[in-house]
Amino acid sequence: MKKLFKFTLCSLMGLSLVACGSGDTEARDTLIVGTPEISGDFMEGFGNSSYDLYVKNLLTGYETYNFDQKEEDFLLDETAMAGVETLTNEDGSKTYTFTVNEDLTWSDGETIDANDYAFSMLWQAGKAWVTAGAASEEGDGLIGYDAYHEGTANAFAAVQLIDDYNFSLTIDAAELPYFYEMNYVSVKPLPQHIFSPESKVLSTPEGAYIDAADLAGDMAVVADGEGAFRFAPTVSCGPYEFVSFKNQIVTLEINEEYAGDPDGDLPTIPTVIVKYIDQSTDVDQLIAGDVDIINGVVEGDKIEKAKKEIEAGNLAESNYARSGYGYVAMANEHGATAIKEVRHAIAYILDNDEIINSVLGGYGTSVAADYGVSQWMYQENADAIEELNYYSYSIANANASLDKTDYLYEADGVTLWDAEKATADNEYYRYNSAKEVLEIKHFGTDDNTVTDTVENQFNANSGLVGIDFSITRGDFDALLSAYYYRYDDAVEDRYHTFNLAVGFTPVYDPYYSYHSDYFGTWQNSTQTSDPTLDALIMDLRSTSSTDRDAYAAKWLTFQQAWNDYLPMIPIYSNSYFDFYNSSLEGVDTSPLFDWSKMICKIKWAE
Amino acid sequence: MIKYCIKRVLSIIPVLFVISVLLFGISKAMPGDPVVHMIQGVKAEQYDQQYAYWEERLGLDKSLPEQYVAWISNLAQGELGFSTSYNKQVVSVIKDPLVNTIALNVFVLFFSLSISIYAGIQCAVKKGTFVDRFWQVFSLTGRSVPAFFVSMCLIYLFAIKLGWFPIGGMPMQLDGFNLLEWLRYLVLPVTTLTLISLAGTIQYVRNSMLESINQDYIRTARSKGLTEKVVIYSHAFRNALIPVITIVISSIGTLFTGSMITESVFGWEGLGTVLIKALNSRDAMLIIVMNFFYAFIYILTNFIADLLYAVVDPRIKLD
Repeated sequence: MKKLFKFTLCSLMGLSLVACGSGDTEARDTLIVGTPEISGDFMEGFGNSSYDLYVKNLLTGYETYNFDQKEEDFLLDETAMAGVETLTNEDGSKTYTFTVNEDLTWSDGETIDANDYAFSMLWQAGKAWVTAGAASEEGDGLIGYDAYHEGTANAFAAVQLIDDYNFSLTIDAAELPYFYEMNYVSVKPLPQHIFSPESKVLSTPEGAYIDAADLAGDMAVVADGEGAFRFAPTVSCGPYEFVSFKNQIVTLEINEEYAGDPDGDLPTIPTVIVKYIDQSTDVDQLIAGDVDIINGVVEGDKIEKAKKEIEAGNLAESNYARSGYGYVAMANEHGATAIKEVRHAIAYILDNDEIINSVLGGYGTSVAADYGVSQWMYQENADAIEELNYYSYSIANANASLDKTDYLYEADGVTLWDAEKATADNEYYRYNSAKEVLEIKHFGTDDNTVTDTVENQFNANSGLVGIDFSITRGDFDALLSAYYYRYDDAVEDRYHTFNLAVGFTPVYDPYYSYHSDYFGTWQNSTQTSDPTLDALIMDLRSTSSTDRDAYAAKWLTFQQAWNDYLPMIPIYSNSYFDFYNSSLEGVDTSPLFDWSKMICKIKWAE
Repeated sequence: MIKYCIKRVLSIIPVLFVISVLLFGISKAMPGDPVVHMIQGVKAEQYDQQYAYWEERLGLDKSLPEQYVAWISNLAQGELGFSTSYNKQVVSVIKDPLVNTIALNVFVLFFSLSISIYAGIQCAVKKGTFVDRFWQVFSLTGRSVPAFFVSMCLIYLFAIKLGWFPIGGMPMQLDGFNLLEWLRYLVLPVTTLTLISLAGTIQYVRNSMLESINQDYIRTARSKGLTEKVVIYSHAFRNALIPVITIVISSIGTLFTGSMITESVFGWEGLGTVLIKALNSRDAMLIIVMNFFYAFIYILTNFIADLLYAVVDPRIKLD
């Protein structure tokens, strides 16, 4: 037994010593990126993880139109496209005819041609793709989309395959003019030779369709089951090829057939590894050299820690303002928050600066409306935006706003409510003439420092303005149900306020978020319905795609109206920090361009 | 013996049935909608279509009894169901993490049992000495300190300050399987789990041995002039084995069950980490299957322990 014990201790020590000595063997032909989550869905249309998107970005490319980082506009990808011609048709629709470059190939050497682009549009816009479990907006906005998507038309009227290297897409006249019209015709190729090798894309005067013996069966193979393409893509048209995904580690190798990003740049690092790391120790792992890049760090203490390493020359950083903001959303359709002045009052009792300091360690800025300070529209209107009402902390202003509502009374509905009598915790609430208490029920997620701070501020200030405040906490799924689907009849407990955050894409279109057309859907999550905002939204989105000045001006008018209506309370816009190994070059990330989108610019210093 | 085995196996069936009903009921009673989680972000126009698709595919449009019958029938045929958080079959989700958990726990089991049995015997034999007091204090401390605290201390000391081991995560296998790389990532979680499990088992073995050492037959053995080694290991330990077997067998059960906290702290992709994700995302099928699996392992190890009692102690008859 003693021998066994000795053997055990010796093996424990041996294990430690051997293991200690085996680190730091990675050569500089590998880039290791840490990420807090990987769910393993590597095909567009599946999964909603923003972290899987890194891998999707590395595996795809050659999109007809790309959002350009420098120009901040949609530009033709000239690496993929030899040219584009546009034609406005008699019925007001607009046809884009693309010519595909002839030297493009998939990572397996097969040619990429117009067929792959037309196939991609038809594959993703069709009903069968939804039946295979995919969610895709591809083709939405093009003529004949509804009929093709619903399955009432066999052919997609908007798509024409002209020849091997030319295809066209036609935008529906009803969607024009639209400032982001290029987004309707942005499409990436899909590998027809892998997905449905026996099929053909056939063009008719009624549109194009995929002629396949069993299209649904082909889609099921791509979408479902062990080893399906969506989990393990076998070919790529992006800068990297998929090698493996195991134990939350994705390994990718350079795609030798890749022709380049829209600038013509090629990747230089042979292997990219995207691996899961615990977010609480991400900076430590970067410092220890376990990973080379971490991105989107917002916590003040971690930023300070990394900055010390930057000063020592061990790390480097790229920081930028978030394209979005954190907010307290309000239910605009029910309860007291349906009244604008009540929403204003709630904004006045929240101290944004305090939240920025306590939660973000000062690494953030206040926001007054529906924008991110990195958006080009904001940059062009910064002075005017500064003039908006930031609803700075003021109990007096909050009470003044509430005095404009019917919540003027004590519990009897007759005696006027007196601000002098109110304290933070004496339960002296405002009532309306129908003797209904001014009640705010808040929902926030567990283990969330923003929820903690918002709760503290509500607790400290709501009593001073006569609001009966209560909070419920839950996990993110519970928040989703309570916030996005509260209009559902099945939901019993309806809350008035919620704390969340939003990120903008290059396409800023408030139509889906605030227009009354989407009232009663999860997309208009605040359930905003206001004729003034509706009109401004339609005016904004119908700006010609070439008229940026007009768009910026209309954007400002919309933000001013939004700031007054205040469907939600913007609290902060974070500063994001990407930290990386100081031997890396070209990590010039920005809110809309993370490391995966600029992988062709990133290289190890020689 | 055979009759006993058949009776025990038959008695397991209703137990598993009750467990399956309870697990199914509890998971279905959890708030939140797994389909909502799956399709968040889907455009409003496609939302209903997507919702209906997944609801039908997952069988959530049926009544609860129908869902249960469908699930248990599929389970009997080896189909574990569909994970809504991973968007793939449950068997695909748990395959690799199960291997990782076993890899982790094999080391933990080996070190913890070897050390605790030896240390427990030494404590009993040298009762009241420094050795005994040391392990007593160690046991008390080990049982009082939570696993995450031990993990964080080890990470701070050996990974952050000394840089000997990685802070967490899974080993990368760029050029195929690399044992040393695996060991580097295993040392800290193995040490944490070993330290935690040692605390309880040492005390258990010590108490069992003390009881055995004080028996008359030990005095008789010593008076016969047998060496102390023979007295302790052949006579005392053999009779102290029954309670120890309970620990050993239940430890074998833990080979297959992940440690949620330790795996999460170290980013070890085992069953514990998978279960946490499943719970956070209301992945009912994954939660049910994993807990059912744990329950099955527990029942099985108990059954095996009962059989082994008869092997080590001839006085126990299995009727």
